[in-house]
Amino acid sequence: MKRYFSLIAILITFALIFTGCTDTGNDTQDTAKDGEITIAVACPLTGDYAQYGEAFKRATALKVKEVNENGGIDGKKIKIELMDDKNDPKEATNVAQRLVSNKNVVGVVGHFSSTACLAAAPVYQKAGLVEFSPTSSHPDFTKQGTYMFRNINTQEIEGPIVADMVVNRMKGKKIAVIYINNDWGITAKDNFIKAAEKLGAEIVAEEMFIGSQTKDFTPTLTKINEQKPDVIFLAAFYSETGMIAQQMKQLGYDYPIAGLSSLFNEELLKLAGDAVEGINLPTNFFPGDPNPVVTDFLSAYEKEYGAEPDQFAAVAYDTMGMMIEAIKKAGPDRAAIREELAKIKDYNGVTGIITFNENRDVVKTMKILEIKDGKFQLVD
Amino acid sequence: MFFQQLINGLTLGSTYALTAVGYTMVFGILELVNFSHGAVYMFGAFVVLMLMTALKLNFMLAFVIGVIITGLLGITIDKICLFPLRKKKAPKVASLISTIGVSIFIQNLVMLVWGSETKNFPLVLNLGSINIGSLKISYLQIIIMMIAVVLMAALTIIIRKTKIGKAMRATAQNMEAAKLMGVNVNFVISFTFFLGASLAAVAGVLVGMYYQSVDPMMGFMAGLKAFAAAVLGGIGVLPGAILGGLIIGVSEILAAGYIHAGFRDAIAFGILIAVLIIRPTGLLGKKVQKKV
Amino acid sequence: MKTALDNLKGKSTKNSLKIIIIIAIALSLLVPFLNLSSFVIRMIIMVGIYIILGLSLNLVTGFAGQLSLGHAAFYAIGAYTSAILSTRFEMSFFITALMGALLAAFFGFLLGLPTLKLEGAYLAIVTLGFCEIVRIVALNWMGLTRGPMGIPGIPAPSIFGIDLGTEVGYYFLIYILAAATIITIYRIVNSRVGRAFIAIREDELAAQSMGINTTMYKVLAFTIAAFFAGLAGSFYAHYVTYIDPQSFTFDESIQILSIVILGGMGSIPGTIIGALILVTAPEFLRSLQDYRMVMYGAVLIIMMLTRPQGIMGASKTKIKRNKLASSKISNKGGE
Repeated sequence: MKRYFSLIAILITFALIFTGCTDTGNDTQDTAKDGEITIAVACPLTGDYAQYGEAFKRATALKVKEVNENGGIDGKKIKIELMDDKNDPKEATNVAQRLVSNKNVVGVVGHFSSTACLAAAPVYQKAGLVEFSPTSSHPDFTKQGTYMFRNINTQEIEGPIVADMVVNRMKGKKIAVIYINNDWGITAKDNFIKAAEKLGAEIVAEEMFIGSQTKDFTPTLTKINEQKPDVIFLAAFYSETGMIAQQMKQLGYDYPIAGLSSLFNEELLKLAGDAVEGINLPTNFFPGDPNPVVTDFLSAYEKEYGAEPDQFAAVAYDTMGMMIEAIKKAGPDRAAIREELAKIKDYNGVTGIITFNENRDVVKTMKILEIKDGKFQLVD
Repeated sequence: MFFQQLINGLTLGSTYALTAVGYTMVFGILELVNFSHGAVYMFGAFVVLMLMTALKLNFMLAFVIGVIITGLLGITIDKICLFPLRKKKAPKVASLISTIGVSIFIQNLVMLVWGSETKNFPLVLNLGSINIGSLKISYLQIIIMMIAVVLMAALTIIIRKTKIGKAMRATAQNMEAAKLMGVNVNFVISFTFFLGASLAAVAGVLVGMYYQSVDPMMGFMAGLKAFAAAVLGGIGVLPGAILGGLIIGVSEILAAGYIHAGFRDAIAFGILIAVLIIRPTGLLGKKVQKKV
Repeated sequence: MKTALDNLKGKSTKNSLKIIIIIAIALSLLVPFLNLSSFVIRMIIMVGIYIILGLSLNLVTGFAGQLSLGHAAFYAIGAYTSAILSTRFEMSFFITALMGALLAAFFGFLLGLPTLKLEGAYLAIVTLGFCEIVRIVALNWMGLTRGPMGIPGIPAPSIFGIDLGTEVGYYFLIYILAAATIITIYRIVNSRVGRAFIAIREDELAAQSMGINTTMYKVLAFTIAAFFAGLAGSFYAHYVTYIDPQSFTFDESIQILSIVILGGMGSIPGTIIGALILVTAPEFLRSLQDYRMVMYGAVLIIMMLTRPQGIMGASKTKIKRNKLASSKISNKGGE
């Protein structure tokens, strides 16, 4: 009998807590009451990808602080509702549901990976809440509905730029490709191969690995070595790239490496030292850029956090900036914000001049970097 | 290319073997599938790295202190999370879930304190490599393999020849009877955990050094593979851990080199399942006589 | 175990229990009309999915005593089968769900076969390996599963032209599925088959000598459990409308197992409570931000320490120590 009492006790507790949840949801429906505008930031704060979420958290907080110091939006302060989705699709949908139920939230900056973005998209679309992802590059993401926006070049745009870099700048005729087996890696690889073959290059090897599971790349590298490629192209993140470069060095292979904008991270240099010397990559954001928008962002970020921002911080900063821009024009109305966001043209951000195309994808220019003397350096 | 792949496989296999030795020892004494082993392994690598970078200790000193700290962590885990369960004579799965809780806790705590990004682990023992024709073997690879074998031998001696080893075997066979015979069972178990956790730390440091990087999630897959290696060799059997580790490592590398890199882990697990169906107690495991 | 307890109780407690159950059912039918926020409804639906998953695993682990670390595999098989059939062949949910469940059951049957010989850690690693293999195949078989690209746009279920893709629709659908699972598992457990399962858990050798075909019953437990996990997977796919291999990792298996252990092995109400706690706990902890998963780990440990037999688990009267000391330590020939 005791067991059944505890059962009932637990059920009642949960029922109470649940009703508690809904009550607070209803209480705060009136936005104007506390004179605040709430923007949600949804990103992984725990789990494998927490470091990217941390960059989102810092950069968006910085942007909001700057705007609030300058009077906010029409005198109303902006508040960030920070949500952890662990980069897990199931958690992302839970977060999405929570955010759309909270009537205070007028727009969402997030999520990080395409998996999370795609899983959450139907919830946002149904409720009519903008999901503005700084980093989702999955081609299907913005096809999920009219409320999905992204702030990163899709691989359809980045692929040809990198292919040109590999074939023409690095003189790669025989190219080996190593890619991470996720949606991003596959689209990146496909777009790169299509563009490189158009430029007359030959793809001699195509090898995959599973992210955060594969740590030993020696079999793949040994296999590629048989083909003697001119260039190895990596569709990978910086942590795996560091390991690949180091294991290449340990095996005594010396092939030039080309990568994508995902590699632009100071950690790569710390991680792999001289093993990554000579890697070529494109980027939207470069701290060495003399553009005042960039230098201002840099000094503000360093003052706030004592560290240099990476590209994830930069793009999250711009994403929040554009979101605020749209809210300024539209007021705290979810549908109107979507309309205004879609209309944004030539936003002068730290990751370049940003405009949406008709699919709510961005088109940004890219610069080419090379790692020289242990530093990322701009080439021509 | 085949021989180079074989060497790659043996090296990877010896990192698994190294981790599996600690795993299998704790299982041998307590029959506990210790899911926190992977997290402890990661913790060991991080502590040594932090002692080196933050406190600027030299490698050997940091290594020794780090291994001891991790060993103490092992005892703490047992005292807080497992001892009360043993005392209550709780079902085995409760301990298993408790170790999963420990693993989640440690992993996320490390992430909070030291950040979740992959960190460089300095190559302290940069000894170069031997070239035989086009083959390349680094001394570090050889050292890792040697240490796995030496540790196994040392543990075998401890368990078979020393007094504490005798106590460990007695505890493993029948905890109650051992207690009645005057064996300090609690001390024996603490000692086992200390040993298991320090072995995990040794493995973590060596693997970290080999890949020159550590990250808070590194223990997860390593833990699973070590578990697989220990079971393949026959869990509780020390030489089995080495054999199992090498087989899993080599089959994984050959699968990646000759079949398909995406399926490497699937093939390694497939071999494991196939072996267990033919030999249900692993390669070196003894057939258990069921007691009625 | 349960029936024995019931018999011990007086009639009045039995009746009051019945009343409580009836009230609970009546209340739960009202839930969608209580003007709860969509988020709460969503959480309830997720709890429903995990009740099905937890109960099915409880059948294998709690009742038949076979530790499985790969239950997410069947969940994945059900979800993928259903998603592929409905997006490519536009079949209705009720057909795809059945197919998903049946295919999962078939794989459960296959996985059940090796369990004839394996036990303990050996069985655990085989189920774990199976789960990894399923995920890796889903990740690499681009032609079938679209690999990491996942399958988006899985249609919402509908019946006789009525769209069930609304909150109320999903709620009642999962309600019916969960209720069907609870009733089925309850009836199995309290039947000859269920008693055979328990006999196997308590002492396999004795069960065998009593004339129980342990082989058949173990395979049966896996098959039934896989069927229901597949069903839960189908529902999940049609509910979230996007699936990819990341939704079915080893963590998922652990989550399901934790529900069973936390609730109490071999207890049906326990599993329901376990699902309720573990599915909603991360949401309650969400405000802790970075500290969330640390707390989750701590909560798991504390719950195990305070009630190792689980919230609703009956404390065992006898513990067989000699059984624990079966497969033994150390070196070959170490006596």
